[in-house]
Amino acid sequence: MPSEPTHVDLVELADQVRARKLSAVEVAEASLARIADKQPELNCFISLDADGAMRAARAVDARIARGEDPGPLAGVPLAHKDMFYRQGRISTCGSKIRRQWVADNTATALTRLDAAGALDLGGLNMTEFAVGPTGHNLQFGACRNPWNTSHSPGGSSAGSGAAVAARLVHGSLGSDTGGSIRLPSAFNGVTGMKPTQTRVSRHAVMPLSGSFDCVGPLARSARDVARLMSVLAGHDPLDSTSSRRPSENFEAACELPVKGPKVGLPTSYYTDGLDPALERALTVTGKVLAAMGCALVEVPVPAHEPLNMLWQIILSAEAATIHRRWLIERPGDYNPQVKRRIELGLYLPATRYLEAMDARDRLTREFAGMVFSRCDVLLTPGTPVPAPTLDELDVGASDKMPELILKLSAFTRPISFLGLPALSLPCGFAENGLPLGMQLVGRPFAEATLLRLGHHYQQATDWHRRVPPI
Amino acid sequence: MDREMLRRLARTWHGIELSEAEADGIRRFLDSVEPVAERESRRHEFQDEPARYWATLEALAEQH
Repeated sequence: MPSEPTHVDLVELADQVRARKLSAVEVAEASLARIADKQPELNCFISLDADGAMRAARAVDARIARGEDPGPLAGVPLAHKDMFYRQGRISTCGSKIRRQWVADNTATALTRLDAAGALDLGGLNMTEFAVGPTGHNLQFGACRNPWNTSHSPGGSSAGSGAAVAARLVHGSLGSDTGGSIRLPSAFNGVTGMKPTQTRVSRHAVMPLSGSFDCVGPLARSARDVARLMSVLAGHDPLDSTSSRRPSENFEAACELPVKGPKVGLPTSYYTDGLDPALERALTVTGKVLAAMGCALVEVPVPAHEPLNMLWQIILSAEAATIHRRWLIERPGDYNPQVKRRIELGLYLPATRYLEAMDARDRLTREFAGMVFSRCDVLLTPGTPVPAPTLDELDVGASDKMPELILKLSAFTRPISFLGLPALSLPCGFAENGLPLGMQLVGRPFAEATLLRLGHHYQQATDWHRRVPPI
Repeated sequence: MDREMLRRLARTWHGIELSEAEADGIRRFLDSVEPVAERESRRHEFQDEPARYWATLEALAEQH
């Protein structure tokens, strides 16, 4: 039913509302009805703000009726990982500790989306405190993958990936510290961007690791992500760490021709332990890109073990600093797996942390020297495997946990350590019907290049148009 | 670091009483990252400084 408002792409929907072909109220009602229907199966939402969404929809329609510009996201139903603060609203961060915590300020990312006319339908399920790639949540129940509800939607932006894929909302904000936008994008067959470190404001967003936390959008296509990024990117005076680079018209960049970029195929690491279905999908992807005029080049990559291990040190130290008081006073209020991963940082010497921080510069230059001297964009799998079942990933804080988590985030975590932008795109399906994801990695601040390549790839394929059978 | 050392650190630094099982789990993690951390630390230069990373991101940025 492609003509249903819930099934129209974000860009097309906003343009229809702006052109008065659809009212924002109609659109909001359609999304709320679909959410009511699918929430029992998927558990995407922690909280629903139907009244707020309807008020915002009526305000958009009123602006249009007055002849005002309602913004580039007019009437677009969005919902966000429940860690983007909105003044006066509970932001649980997926946790027991913040289950009733009411924010006293509003995330700049939300303020920008509001100003662009978007509707905020509520807070989405997530891994507790954004620590973990599996989508489990002991407080609010696991979110489920709409392609097969016994499978994981990935994490930690679990609800974001599942809600976008299931056509409950047209887009969503996630956060990505080691893969938390890209993993749910890959497992749910949607398109998600982890921008360059500092590209999008993190003001009034739950922190986990200041060195790695990134805010970014998940949506159904690269073009949809581009429109969201055009609204989100750019310096924020409220976030002193945000880049001074101005935002760009990423959507316009998508429409520019692809002029023979060199796409790098890693000769090691990203080929290790790969599911055969992903291998085949990436081979086909290479052919599609070549037919688009891209030059495919084999690219050696530096050893990734330091990137993974030093990432772990920095993450643990920074997260433990944020959580130390609660780890001491309320240890029983954490999911044991989350607690274990955070508390490690309590026992690392400060010198190890600072050595890891210092190494980031050197290792980023080494990576860029090997990779971006040979190609413009690196193509990797998004994950080594399609989404496992929730039961397979239910390892708690056992000794199996570190290896499992490293396996799931093996291809995303190193890119987080380097702070590079990456776009996750669907690139096929496994035999069991679950989506497969790939990742395009670019130079710092090359979001426009990644989105353009992603958009042209999606003009030549239809993986992103497939709808889960729920 | 052995189990008892870790439990003493937890008690002294943070006022946390770790069970033996908890201490073993944490120790195994620390053991898993330590060799790489030590190896990388030997590449550390006297003038290294974390903020250089941000300048590197700008320097490596795509030129339009």
